[in-house]
Amino acid sequence: MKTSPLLSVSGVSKSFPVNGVPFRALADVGLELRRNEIIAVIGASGCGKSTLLRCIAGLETPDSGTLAIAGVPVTTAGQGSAVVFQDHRLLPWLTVRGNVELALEPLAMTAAERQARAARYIALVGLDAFAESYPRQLSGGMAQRAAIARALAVETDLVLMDEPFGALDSILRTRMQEELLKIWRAHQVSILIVTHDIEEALYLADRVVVMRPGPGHVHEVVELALPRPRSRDTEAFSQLRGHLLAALAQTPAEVVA
Amino acid sequence: MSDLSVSTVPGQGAAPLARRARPARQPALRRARTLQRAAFRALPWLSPLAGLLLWQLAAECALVSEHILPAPGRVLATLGELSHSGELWSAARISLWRLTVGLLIGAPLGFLFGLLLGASPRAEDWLGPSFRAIAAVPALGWIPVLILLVGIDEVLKVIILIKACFVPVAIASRDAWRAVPARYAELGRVLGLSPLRQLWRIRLPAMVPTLFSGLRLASGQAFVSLVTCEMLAATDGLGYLMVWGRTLFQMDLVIVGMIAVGSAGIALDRLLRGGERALRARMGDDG
Ligand SMILES: Nc1ncnc2c1ncn2[C@@H]1O[C@H](COP(=O)(O)OP(=O)(O)O)[C@@H](O)[C@H]1O
Ligand SMILES: [Mg+2]
Repeated sequence: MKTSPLLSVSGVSKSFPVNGVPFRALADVGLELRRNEIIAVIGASGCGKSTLLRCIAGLETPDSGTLAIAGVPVTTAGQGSAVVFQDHRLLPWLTVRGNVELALEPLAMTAAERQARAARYIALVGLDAFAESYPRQLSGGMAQRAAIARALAVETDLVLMDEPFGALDSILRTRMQEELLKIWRAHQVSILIVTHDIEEALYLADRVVVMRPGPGHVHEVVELALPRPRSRDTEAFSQLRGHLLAALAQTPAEVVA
Repeated sequence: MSDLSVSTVPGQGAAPLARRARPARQPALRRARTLQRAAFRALPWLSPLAGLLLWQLAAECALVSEHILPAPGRVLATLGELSHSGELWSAARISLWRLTVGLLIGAPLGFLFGLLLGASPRAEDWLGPSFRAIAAVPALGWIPVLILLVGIDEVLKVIILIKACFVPVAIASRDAWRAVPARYAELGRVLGLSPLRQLWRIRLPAMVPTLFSGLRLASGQAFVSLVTCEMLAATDGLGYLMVWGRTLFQMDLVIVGMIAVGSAGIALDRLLRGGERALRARMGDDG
C-alpha cells in the first residue's frame, strides 16, 4: 500500500554565520517519515541532528530545500508537530498541570475540556499524583515525562524528540523507552527521535537515519526488520549494532573533505 | 509505571538519616549552638548600640555643645513629643504619599518604556541614548530648572519622584526582558502561542523576579530623592522637618527626622523584600 509520507524533507541546507563566515550545518538533507513510524536519527555530536529537528519544528528556516508535514509546508513553529527538548523545559512557575494546559491554550477547546485532556495525558505518563507539583519538586525522569505529556496532549500526528532521555541514567532511560513504545502503540503517533545512543535507536525505531558531519548529511538509512517487542541481546540486534557503529565511523578521506 | 521515580532518587534516602542524627548530640553542644545563634542574631545591633553609648558619653562629658549634639534622652523626649502631637506622623504621611504617587505613576511608565527598549532594537537605537543621558543626571539635578518651570508646589516633588522611579524601573524592565532565557521564548513558539499569550504566559512571568528587584531599587532611590527634595524645596514632609530643625538650631529635631527617615526606609525595604519573597515562592523559584 502506498500512502503519502507524513513528513517529507528534501534538499534541506542550512548555514550559520560563525564569526562572519557561513558555517554549513546541513547540506542537501532529505528523508521521509511514514504515518505511525518511528525514525531515529543518529550521528556524531555536531553533525546537525538538532538543526534538522529545529528546521522540521519551524524553529529554523532552512536556506534551501522543502519541508512539509502532511503535505503542508512548514512555515512557522507550533504547527503540525510537537517537540520534546533534551531539557524538559517545563516553566518553573507552573505546576505539571499548568504546563500541560498551557500547550492546549492555542487549541479551540473550553477550559473544562482542556483540564480533562491535560489530566488524561498526565495520567498516561503516570504523573497523576504529581499534577499539582512544581517542576523543581520532580526528579529528572518525572520532569521529562511531564514534558512528553505536554507534547502528546496536543495530539499532533508528528512528535519530534531531541535526545529526550539523554540526561537520564541508563536504567531510567531503558524504562522510559519502554513507556514511549507503549504510548506509541496506543496512540498512533509518528515519532522522529534524535539520539546519540545506538541501542536506543535499535530498540525504538522502524528505520535509523545515520548522519555524518562536514557538512551534516544523511549517510545511510537502515531499515530495522526486528520484530517487537525487541530484545537487546539477540543475534540480529548485535549485528545491526555493529553495522550502525561502522556507519557512524568516519573514514579519513571524509574527515579531510 | 508511576513507581518509576521513587527508586531513582539516590539523594533522598540520606537526608532523613542526617536529620535523625541531630537530637543524639550532647546537650552541652546544643546549648553552645543556641548561644552561638543568639550571638549572631545580636550582631547587627552591636554597632548601633556602641554608637549610642558613644553618643551618650559625649553628651555627658559635654565634649560637644548641646546645641550641636543633644543627648539621646533629649532626642527621645522630642521624638515622644512630636509623635504625641502628631507632627511626626503628618510629616511622614505627606512623604509617603508623595512616594506612593511617584511610584504609582513612575513605575508603570518605566515598565512600559523598559519593555519597549528591551523588545525593539530600533527603539533602543533611537531612544536609548537620550534615556541614558536623562538617567545620568540625578533627580536633584533637575530641581533648579523644574522650580523655574513648575514652581515649588507639589507638582515639583511629584515630577522628581516620577523620574526617580521611572529610571530604575525602566532599566530593570529592559534587562529583565533581555534576560528571559531563549529556551522559554522558543517554547512559546513551539507551543504555537500567539504573541500576546507568549508575552502574558511566558515572558512576563519569567521577568517577575528581576522586575521586583528593580522596583525595590526604585523605591529606595526614590525615597532618598524625596527626602533631599523636601530638604531643598518643600514646606512639609520628613525632609522639611530636618531643615526646619536646623534653621531653629534644634538639633534634636534634626536627629528625630533622621531616625524617622531611616526607619521608614528600612520598613519600605522590608515590605518590598517580603513581597518579592512571596512572589518568588509563588512562581516556584527557590533563588
Ligand atoms: N545557532 C547556531 N549558530 C551557529 N552555529 C550553530 C548554530 N546551531 C548549530 N550550529 C552549529 O551547527 C552544527 C550542528 O549543530 P547541531 O545541529 O546542534 O548538532 P547535533 O545536534 O548533531 O549535535 C554544530 O557545529 C553547531 O556548532
Ligand atoms: Mg543536538
